Parts: sequence; C-alpha cells; structure tokens
Amino acid sequence: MSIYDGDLVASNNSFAKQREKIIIDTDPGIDDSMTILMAFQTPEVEIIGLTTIFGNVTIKNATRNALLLCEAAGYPDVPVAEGSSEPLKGGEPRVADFVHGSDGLGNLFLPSPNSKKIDKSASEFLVEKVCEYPGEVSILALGPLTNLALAVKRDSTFASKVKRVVVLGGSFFALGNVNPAAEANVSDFFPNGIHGDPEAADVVFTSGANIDVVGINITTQVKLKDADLEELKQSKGKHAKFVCDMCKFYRDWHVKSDGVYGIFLHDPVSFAALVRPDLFTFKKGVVRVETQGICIGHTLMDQGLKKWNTSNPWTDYSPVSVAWTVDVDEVLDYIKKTLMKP
Amino acid sequence: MASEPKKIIIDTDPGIDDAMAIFVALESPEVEVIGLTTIYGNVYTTLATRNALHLLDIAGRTDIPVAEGSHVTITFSLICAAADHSASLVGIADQLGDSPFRVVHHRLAPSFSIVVLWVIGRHGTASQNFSTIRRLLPFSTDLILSFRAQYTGTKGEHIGHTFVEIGYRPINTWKNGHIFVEIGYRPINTRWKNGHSTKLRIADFVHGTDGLGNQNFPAPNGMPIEQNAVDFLVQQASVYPGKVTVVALGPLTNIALAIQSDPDFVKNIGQIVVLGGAFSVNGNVNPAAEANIFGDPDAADIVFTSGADVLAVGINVTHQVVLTDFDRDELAKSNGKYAKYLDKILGVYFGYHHDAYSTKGVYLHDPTALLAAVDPSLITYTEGVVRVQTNGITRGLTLFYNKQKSKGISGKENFLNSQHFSFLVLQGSCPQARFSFMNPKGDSHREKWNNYVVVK
Repeated sequence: MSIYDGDLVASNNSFAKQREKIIIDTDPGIDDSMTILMAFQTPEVEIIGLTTIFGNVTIKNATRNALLLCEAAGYPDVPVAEGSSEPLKGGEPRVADFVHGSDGLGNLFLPSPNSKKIDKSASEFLVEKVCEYPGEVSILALGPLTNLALAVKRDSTFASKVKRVVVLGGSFFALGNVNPAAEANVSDFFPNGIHGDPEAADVVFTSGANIDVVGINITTQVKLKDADLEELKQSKGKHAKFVCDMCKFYRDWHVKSDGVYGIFLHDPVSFAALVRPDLFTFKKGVVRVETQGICIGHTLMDQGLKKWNTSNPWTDYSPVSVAWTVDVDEVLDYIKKTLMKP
Repeated sequence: MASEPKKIIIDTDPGIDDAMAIFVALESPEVEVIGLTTIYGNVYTTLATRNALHLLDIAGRTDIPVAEGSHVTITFSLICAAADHSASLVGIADQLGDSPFRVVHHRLAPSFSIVVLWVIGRHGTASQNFSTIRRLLPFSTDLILSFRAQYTGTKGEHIGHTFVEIGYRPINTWKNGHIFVEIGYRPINTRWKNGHSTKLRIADFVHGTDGLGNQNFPAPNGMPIEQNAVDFLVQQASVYPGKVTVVALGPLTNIALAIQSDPDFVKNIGQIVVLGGAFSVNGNVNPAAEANIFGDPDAADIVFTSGADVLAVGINVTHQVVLTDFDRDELAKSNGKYAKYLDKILGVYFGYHHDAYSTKGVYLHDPTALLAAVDPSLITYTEGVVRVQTNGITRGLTLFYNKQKSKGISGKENFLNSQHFSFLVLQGSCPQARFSFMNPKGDSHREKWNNYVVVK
C-alpha cells in the first residue's frame, strides 16, 4: 500500500511540473468546440496542435472552426493541421449539419478567422509531433479516425510512440441503442466517429497503441440539462456566453430527436476521460470494427470471458481499454466547473 | 393445466443439452410434442436424426414422428439445377458466394437432398480431393450433377475453369448407423469466399463426436418419417393454424425454408421460440456470434424478419442458467426418470465448459429455451427488431433494435439497463430451471427470470 502511495505521489509531482502535451483531432462541432475551449482552460494540459477531420462538418468548415476557436480562446498561434476530407475508402462523407448547424457552430455564422492552417497535413503533423516527443503526446480523437489511421500507416512506430489515444466513438454492449448503420437513422446518436470511417477505426483499434475508448454508452449518461445551461449562462465563465449561444441549436435538436431537454456531452466527457481517468472505470479487450454489411460501424469488444478454441478476427490483437462505467455526477461537475472558469 | 396442452415441434441437433430439452418437454404436461425435426449444428443432420430417434427410444416415445431436415445452410440448400435452367449452369460457380441457385433448386429439393457439394479450383488442376470425391460420389449419391464454369478475361481470353460437382441422394433412404459424408466446398477463387464459411460448423468438440457424450449408443429402432422437416413444419402449421409452437434449438435453416416454401407458414405458425443470438453480450463461437445463429446467419435473418411471432432466447439469458457440479451429483443420485442417462452423457459437456469457460458447471441453453415455450412467464421480455449480420467479421451478430427509443426514452435509462444486463449475465443463475428435468412432474419452474429478449 505504501509503495503504491509513493508511486502516486511521484506521478503527481511530475504531472505538476510538466503539462501533458495533447493534440485534439476534431470536427468542430458544438460539443467539440466546448471541449476545445475547456482544454484551453485546463492548466494540466498543453494543446500543441489541432488536427481537423470531416464529420460534424465538412473538412473546410472543420479547419475554419478550429482556427476560430483557437483565436476565441486567445491562442491564435496553436497550429491547426487540416486532415482528410473523406474516409479511407473514399466517397462523400455524411455531414451532421442538422445537429450542429450548417456552420458547425450552431448557426452563429462568425466572421472568418485571421490565422491560417499550417502546410502539413494532419497525419504528417501527428507523426511529426509524436516522434518529436515520443511517449509524451496524447491524442484526443473526437471525430472519424481517418487521420489517425493515416498516421499509423505513415509511420510504423507511431502506435508505440504515442503516449495515449482517447477515442470518442463506438457503442459497447448497449441494448437497443446501437444504430444499425444501414438505417442511417439520423435521430439516433450521431456523434459516433465509427460511423464516419469504420475502416480507419479498425486500423486504429488494432494498431497496438495505448487506447482508451469512450463509447456513446458512456457519453449519453452525462447530460447538461436546461437548468445547467441556464446556470452556465449566468456564470462568469470565460466562454460561457459563446458556449450557450452555440448550444441553442444543439439543444433544440436533442429535444426533437431524443426528447432530451438539454444536451449530451459526448466530446467533453471524452476530454474528462483524458484528464480525469479516475472518474471512469475501464475494461480491457480487443476491439474490432465491422466494415461490411448491415452492421457496418459496429464496434465489438472481446470481453475475454471465453477461451476460443479456434482463432477468430479478434485473436492476436492488442487489447484496448473500453470505458465501462462513469461517475456521472463528478464528470458533470468537472465539465461545468471548467466551462464556468473565468 | 386443465386447458389443452400446447402443441410443440422441436427442431433439434442433439446434442447433450438438446437431449435434456427433449426430456423436459416430454415430461411437461403443459406441452404436447407432436414431432421432432432435425438439423445440423452440434452434429451433422444425419446424426441428429439418429440421435433424435435414439432419445425417443430412451423415453419410450417412438410414437412421436421424426422428420429429417436440411443438411446444409440455406444458401447451399438453395443450390440445385434443373434441365430447363441449363443455360445458367455455366455461371453456377460464380454464384456460389452470394445467394446462388435460388431459382433452380426447388425442382429437385422435394425429392433429393444434397449429399456432397465440392468445388474444384480453376485452371483445370483437378486436385487430389477432386478425384477422391469423384470416386466417393457414386457410392453415396443417386444423382450427380457436374458443372464446369469457364473463366474469361477482360479481353475474352480463356483463363481457366472450375468444376462443381453436386451429389444428390433421394431423401429418406436414411439407414441406421449410416455416418454421413462431409459436406463442403473448396473454392480456390478467393472471390467466392467473401466472408462465408466454406464448411458447416459442427460443434462435436462440445458434445462429443456422436453428439451424446461419446457413449456409442446402439442404433435406434425407429426411422424418420417420409416427409422432410420443412414439409412437416408447413403441414403441421396448416393443420393446426395458430396452435403449433416451434422450438428451434439449432441453426434456423429448416424454419427459414418453411417460411420460404409456404407464404402462409408465418401466419399459421403459433410461435417460433428460437434458442439463439447473443444480445448485448459476446457470442460463444467468437466474440460476435452465437453458435446457432452463426450456423446459418442468412436463415436466421429470414426468420427474425419474417413477421412471425418470434421469441428469441439468447445466451445472455441461457448463460444465467447453470447446472453446477453439485447439481450434477444431485441429479445422479436422484430418482429422476432420465437422471442416470443424463449423468452419463454430461461428462463431455462438463469437460468442455471447464476448459472453455473455466466454470464448474454447464450452461443449460436448450432446456432454458424449451422452458420459455412451456411457461413463458419464466422469462421477461422486451420487444424490438432483430437483424442478423450475414457477412464481415461480425457474421452471425444479432443486433437488437428497440424502437421505443425514438419515442423518447432517454439514452441513459437504456444504457443503465444494459449495464445491469451485463451484470446479470456475469453473476446470475437460475436455480429453478436446472431442476426441472430432475423433478419432471413437480411444479418446479415458477420463478421469474429477470432477463429476456423477444422479437416481434
């Protein structure tokens, strides 16, 4: 016990000295925007770059919004690298403008950003930073995993050099809410990165990297209700007004689609999993993603409860950590406090 | 109990837990077993028929008819040929991967069943297998159809060709003790594989090579009836419309074929109780799929989407019903009618569970499903649509979609339920069902179970 305590103290000390380097791979997106603004308000992490991806919005809007958010947060120098405009196997991606507004930011239609994206592509940037600081860079992946898959393919050492990848996506053993992709049911939980690029997700999950996955079975447990939004609006939070303005559109969609008076906090919950993993429990198992048929995009984890007598598509891959439970109150509290920070 | 017993047909691949289920049914006054239909799964269909007859011998119920079912998955069972379709035969091999030969099969299906289907690779290199099978065919089949598919390149040049040989034998020439020839095909052209398993999956490592715990029982006295399983199902459903419950304990090929062969079957059949699927839990063949669904995913999808009254009992439920070592001892010492017999055949089943799950006990899959038909109040249900993935790495995955969600049930509640679900699966066990065959006349299975999946 005492040894264990000692370890904790030691890691806390080093933590205090050095802020954790993170890259956010994002398709902003209202809840992405909340997350990015939260991350800039969190002293424990240092955002060394944003990489953009299609998903909630087109790649152009994603990059534009990422630049806008850096400016709004007061960090216009943080590099923004533009990523893939389409999934690995190509084709027009589906964009969730009905959730996030046609501009991705709740139809606020902000003026164009002054800063510019960097010349490198997202996957180049990811590989470069991870190789520059091996074992130090964590990636928070909030959209389809195309950029990460390209990084894995670009550099075979990427998976072993990245400190940790926290992925928002998938749904694990959730009864009745797994969205059959063939149905393309927009009323279901859309912000499921696996839908966007199942091939890429499968590449990432089987890459051997240190991965934590936060599925919608976790994120949909954490809601910001109307009363919470009102509280946020009245607060002195640095970005409270901006966030609340954005959220109007998002909230109305939730009412219409899920009968939820408030919003799900998919991306902010994943961020919480990155900085406060103690508020979650995780289970380890190999995760694969279906890339064909009516269940395309389905994430399936081998819980390891049975010894298989033959090999199957799950054998011989490294396990990843799948978020299993969440301390809903604490996570909500953490998110609210961060958003209300002046 | 004064009311008329429920008529049930058990579609079965016996199988150790099938044997238990059949005994439970025979000893439950709530139901009247009007027939057994057989299917591959735990064993090949021929052996399933033999074992079904054997179990009826043991029970002294040789009055119950046994109808032999399909030897192959629905995709294969629809494979056939007829003279007036000879024009399509050139492409026959090309179609193997998808849903082939659907059109032509019905011509031969009523009177013939496929014995061997073997495909030999392209480039005309007849392999050793080919010659072996060729020599074997005449002894096990009455009719052999040979096809040659020619391959041409983009410029029309000859690339090679593929041989397909399909052997047929008339249905009902089944003989006691006859062990069946392996059924399979061996495509060289990878295009055909395309996610489909090339061989029946037979779980002899779970149930023993004879399906009944390697006891080498003597051949049964009875014979299967003239009618095949599909015709039997269709006929019984139409004779007793709305009155017959099918309890399907193996892959769903026979049921799907019945649905396809008679448009009224879905309407006439009372209920289809399916042992199969893994709802919100890992499968038991691989992380995605449960064995019976994996055995014939296409057939399962046909059944689940047929519109019939389907009640699916998945391994999320049956894994809660465990017969422990202690229970087995108790069973062995009891005066139950089948106690000694079951104790004998259970050895292999216990051994398998010990190795695969590190448990000291066995799952009572089939008896649990059967009890769902005997007394539906033992299980609670939820309704929704079920689809089956038929390709890809999750082939055989059963996906349950609860439509109620769109009516405004919050995600949180559903997901909390699902956590609860997983918890029960890991922790729970039902002490009642496991005794039902030890104490067959007793009022023994009245406890409600807290888990369920139903399909409408």
